Amino acid sequence: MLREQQLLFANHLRNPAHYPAPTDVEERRMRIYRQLFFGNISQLLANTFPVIHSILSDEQWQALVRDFYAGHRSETPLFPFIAGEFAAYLQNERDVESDYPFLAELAQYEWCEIALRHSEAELPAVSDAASIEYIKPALSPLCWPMVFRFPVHHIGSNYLPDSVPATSTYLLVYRNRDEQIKFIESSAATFRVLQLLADETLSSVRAVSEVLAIEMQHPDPAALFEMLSESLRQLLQANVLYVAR
Amino acid sequence: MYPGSEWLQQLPAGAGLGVRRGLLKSLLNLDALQLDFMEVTPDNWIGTSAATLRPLHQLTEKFSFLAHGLSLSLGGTDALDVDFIAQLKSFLSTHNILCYSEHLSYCSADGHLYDLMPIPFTDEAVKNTAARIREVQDRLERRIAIENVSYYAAPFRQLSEIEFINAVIAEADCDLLLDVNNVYVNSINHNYDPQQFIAALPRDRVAYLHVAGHYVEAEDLRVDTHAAAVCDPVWDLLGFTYRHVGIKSTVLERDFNYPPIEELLAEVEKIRSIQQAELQRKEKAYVA
Repeated sequence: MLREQQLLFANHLRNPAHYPAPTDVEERRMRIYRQLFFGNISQLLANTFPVIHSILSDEQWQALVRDFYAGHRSETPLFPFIAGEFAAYLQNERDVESDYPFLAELAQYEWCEIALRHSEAELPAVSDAASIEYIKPALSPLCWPMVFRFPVHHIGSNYLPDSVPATSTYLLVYRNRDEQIKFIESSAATFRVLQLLADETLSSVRAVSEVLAIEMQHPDPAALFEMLSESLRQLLQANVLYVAR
Repeated sequence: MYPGSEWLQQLPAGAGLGVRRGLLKSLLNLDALQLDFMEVTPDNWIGTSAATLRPLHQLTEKFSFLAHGLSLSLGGTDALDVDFIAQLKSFLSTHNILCYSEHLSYCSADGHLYDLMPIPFTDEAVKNTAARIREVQDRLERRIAIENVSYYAAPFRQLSEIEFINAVIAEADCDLLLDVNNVYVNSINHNYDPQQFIAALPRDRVAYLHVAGHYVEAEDLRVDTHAAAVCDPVWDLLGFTYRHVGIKSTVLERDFNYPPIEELLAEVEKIRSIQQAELQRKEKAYVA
């Protein structure tokens, strides 16, 4: 009986339009609960998804938060991770025709900045820089390569695309040694390089470059190696990559 | 086994503040003597990065700490989150937390709502809540204190609030975080005498106290917002509480609408002056 009583109370707060209030409670007292609960979750999500909040009208925002609160089963007890519940809901559960087509991707992008800030992963200490020719840098555990259909990093009230662009957006979102969250616009080619860097059968940048030259049928492998080396130096500098040993 | 309520004697006396992200900068600049302790909400910090936790570490190195949780859902019926309890245990030990408290409430029912709902005051709920508190204490290997929450509705009520609280404390064998503002707010919202209520609580189970400000929604309806200064009737009730349960560590809670830190410190001083007055009253009574 207790469980039914609690579900009745909770479900009314989640979705008052659909679930009636307990019959033994004065209406103005239930209204306080409704306002407190919805106000708190709405404020928390507005703080963690500032872009989504800014591009929606008040009415659209309230409807979105209400749909999340009413329909999504949130598992995390930890307040910094409630944003992840919202991003997951947009990704996996939300299905509303009139939504911006980029909404779920934008939420992933905004959430990933928060998740990176909170991440307990650490960037290993730097080792002595050997010549790039003989080492193989690794991707920082604090860099998340992400591919989006929409250029989520440009979305704002002045740019609200309504159809999927011809080319995908490749972003490296990362936390540097100064604890700042940054992103770099990247490319399919660079993402392929990151894949090859993770390939244990390739032991050096030289080896990675050779595979790449074949894949690209590059006319000048030496020039490709120079280009690759320069680009890896920049990614090392930015803390997207690090030298493992 | 962990010690019984007698350990409460070891808690530091005095007055402290709740740590909030919006107050962090000011709190980091405080002198160690300005507060006797601070209180932190683990649910806002667990699982975050070393960089995020750095200011908290700076504070826990300098001040004694209490912890006040939000998400355990002690009164709920979803399964207890044992992974979360394990995280809590490690947090309490890492930060050398003297006392851990949670709300006598539930915040989940088929998933979390992230806010505090009123447990139905029924015998079934007493049994359910007490069993969960016992399990939490066993897993944490320490006693916990449960807080009387402010509530605006008492759905499915069979018992009075005081009967419910006392039954849970007795059956769970746990301690009490007595929120004096909540007693005041509830006494208005549910029309009872706040002094009688406090006098009916088990004084030897009181671990520490909370005070805060609230919002006047209507003459007979107050909302526990923690967004204003503590009002005079609550200061008076705090003095009464010290007379009844003894001078206990007292935390000032402020969650929104932050004033300059000086105003909060002035409220902390006010707590100390009420504690001092009670000390003098007792000494006089002893001499007489």
